[in-house]
Amino acid sequence: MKEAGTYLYSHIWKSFIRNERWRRNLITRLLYALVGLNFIFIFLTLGLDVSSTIAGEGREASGKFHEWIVWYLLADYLVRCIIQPVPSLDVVPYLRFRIRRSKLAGNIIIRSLFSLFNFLPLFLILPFVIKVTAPFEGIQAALLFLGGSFLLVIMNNILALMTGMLTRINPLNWLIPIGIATAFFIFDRMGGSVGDISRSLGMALTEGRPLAYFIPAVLITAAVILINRLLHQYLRVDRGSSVSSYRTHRNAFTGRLARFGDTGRYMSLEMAMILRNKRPRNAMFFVLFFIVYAFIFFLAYDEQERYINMLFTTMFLGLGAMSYGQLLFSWESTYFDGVMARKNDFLNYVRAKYYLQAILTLITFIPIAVLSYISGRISVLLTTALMIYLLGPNSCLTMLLATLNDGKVDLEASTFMNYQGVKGSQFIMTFFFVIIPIAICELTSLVAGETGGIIVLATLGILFVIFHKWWLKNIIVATFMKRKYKLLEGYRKLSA
Amino acid sequence: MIKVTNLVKSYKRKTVLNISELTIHDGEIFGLVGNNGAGKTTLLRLMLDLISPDRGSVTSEIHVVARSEKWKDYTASYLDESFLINYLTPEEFFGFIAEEYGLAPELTEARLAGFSEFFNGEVLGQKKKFIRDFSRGNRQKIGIASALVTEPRVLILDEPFNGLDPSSQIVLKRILSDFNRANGTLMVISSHDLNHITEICTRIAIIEKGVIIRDIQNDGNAMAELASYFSLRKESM
Repeated sequence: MKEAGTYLYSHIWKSFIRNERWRRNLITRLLYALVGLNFIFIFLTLGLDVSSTIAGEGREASGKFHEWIVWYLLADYLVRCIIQPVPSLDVVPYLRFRIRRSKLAGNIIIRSLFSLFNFLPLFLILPFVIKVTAPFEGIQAALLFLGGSFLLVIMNNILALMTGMLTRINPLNWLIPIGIATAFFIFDRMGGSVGDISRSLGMALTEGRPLAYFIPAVLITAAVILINRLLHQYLRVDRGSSVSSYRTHRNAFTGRLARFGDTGRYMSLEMAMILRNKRPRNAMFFVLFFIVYAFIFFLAYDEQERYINMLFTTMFLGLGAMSYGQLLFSWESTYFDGVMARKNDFLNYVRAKYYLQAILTLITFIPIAVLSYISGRISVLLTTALMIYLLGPNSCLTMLLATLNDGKVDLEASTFMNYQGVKGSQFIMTFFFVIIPIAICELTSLVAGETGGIIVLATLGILFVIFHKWWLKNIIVATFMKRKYKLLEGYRKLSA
Repeated sequence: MIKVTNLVKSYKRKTVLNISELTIHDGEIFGLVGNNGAGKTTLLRLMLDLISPDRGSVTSEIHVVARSEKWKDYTASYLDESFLINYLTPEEFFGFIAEEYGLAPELTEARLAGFSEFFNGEVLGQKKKFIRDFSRGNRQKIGIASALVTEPRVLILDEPFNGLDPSSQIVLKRILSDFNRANGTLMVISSHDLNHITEICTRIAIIEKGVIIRDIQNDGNAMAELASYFSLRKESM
């Protein structure tokens, strides 16, 4: 009989290929394949472009590339700390088996190696090695640099995994990545040059100096030892809940909106759902991140074409509502049987969801309107018209598509890189979400000028807002009720 | 009264439930026993309109459950943890349910006070402890109490004794019996525990492969009949 530990690795593969995601219809699978190929194409083009550009610099080319290594590693480490999931909970079911914890720790590390972040640098490094290092420094140097780069990527992976575990044990440990980033910036500002250190590192790797390989290897070993110790100490079946309660206690559900009747009560419940659960909470955090990006877009980038400005404004305005709205019913998939079996006022329940979506749009509208006014890139009137349109037809479209989504969402799972519950239809929705209002505005503008476009957009939005009770009842609730059994069946699945 | 008529449910062409007729009368505590996969939960879900039948219907009082939602006004249920909103505290959850059923806060509080022995001081007043952070047994207690607090005319429970400690099982049996006596509530309870089911149920049905094969009035000899059926079945396997 095989030892249970030997099954661990085959289970990683089985959990991947048996995921419900692959059982979707052919069109959705094709869509995934196309999106995947598109990403590969974009990154490959980017890598080749960078390498071709710097290859023109002759012998200086290597230095130009090398001086970014440390900055890349730092950025990669920070992003991984925030985004990369820590797969420690994946091994909890194996705790009851006769498997040593060190083996489980090894399994967690191996699971983390499949992260997309370990493959992304390949698109930059491989073209560089082929186009620059090999022709100018020789094959041996190219292979040494390639090997060293892999070592650095693995080092980052393990260090981020270790940091991720530490931050989950105690949120104060976030000071570690923040401290590291601050130290690098201060060093660079105070006259030191991270670029020079980076150049030296790149050179040392290319020349095969042992110290350049030894230091990452030591860091990897130290991190692996610490990960092992942390798992020995903290890998228990009850750890997940104790950490989550620590985080969520600060946001109390007061039901303050209950004074607005049933709709207010449902809104309170919905807000508690968002604030007290990891995935919706992080999704809202992402919205904040995009608002920061909006500042950069409006204030730092050069003037863009009118339709590009409209495209980004629509995206910024609608992102909050869309992040929440695309999983409108799926958010509650883990307790939806209870919702449907109990007495409820379903129309008010759906209205609460609509109002919350509208509030999110209004909240994002304030900074975006200010930014459009300050930058003068897009008129405030047009921004307002787009916002009203989003409150109307786009909200209706988002909610309608949410009634087609029978994907289950685990509220306590990590948000980042987590597409659980997100279906192909949502990708299509994103496209229509931004294209339709722009098309309406641009086409009307051709006939009636820019003001005409704004009036049409705003009028459509106002009509949908005024008659929201009608379409909520006759379109959203009616469609939901027609699909009720299918949705409930999807929500009951163990994985989605 | 709950009336099941020509009810058929299949999954992937395999019939998992086929009940031509079943009537459960007001005031009855109807026990449903059967081995794993027999169709107990499927029947309960159909009674609550959580899955759609391929054929037939379930009528609660005068309402066909798949066509109306009026039956929800007087029905309460707890099948599994998907009936709990686990990011709420028990107090918030009970408060939410009470609002849904239009109960005044004082009345809810008074009714919850009746569960103090069942809760054993471990459920209420736990200072911002969310339902997801409770033990499985206490989550089960919260789910059952959330159904009973509305004082329904129809109560549907799936494996209510699962996960409860022996003392709580005894208390629950008493609560259910007293509740039925006081309110004349129609109860449908599924369980694997023959002792519990025979102690509290007035009528017991054995379900196997989706078909009700015995319908026993519990006049005191039901345990012997059930034990004989299940032991014979084990021998024939």
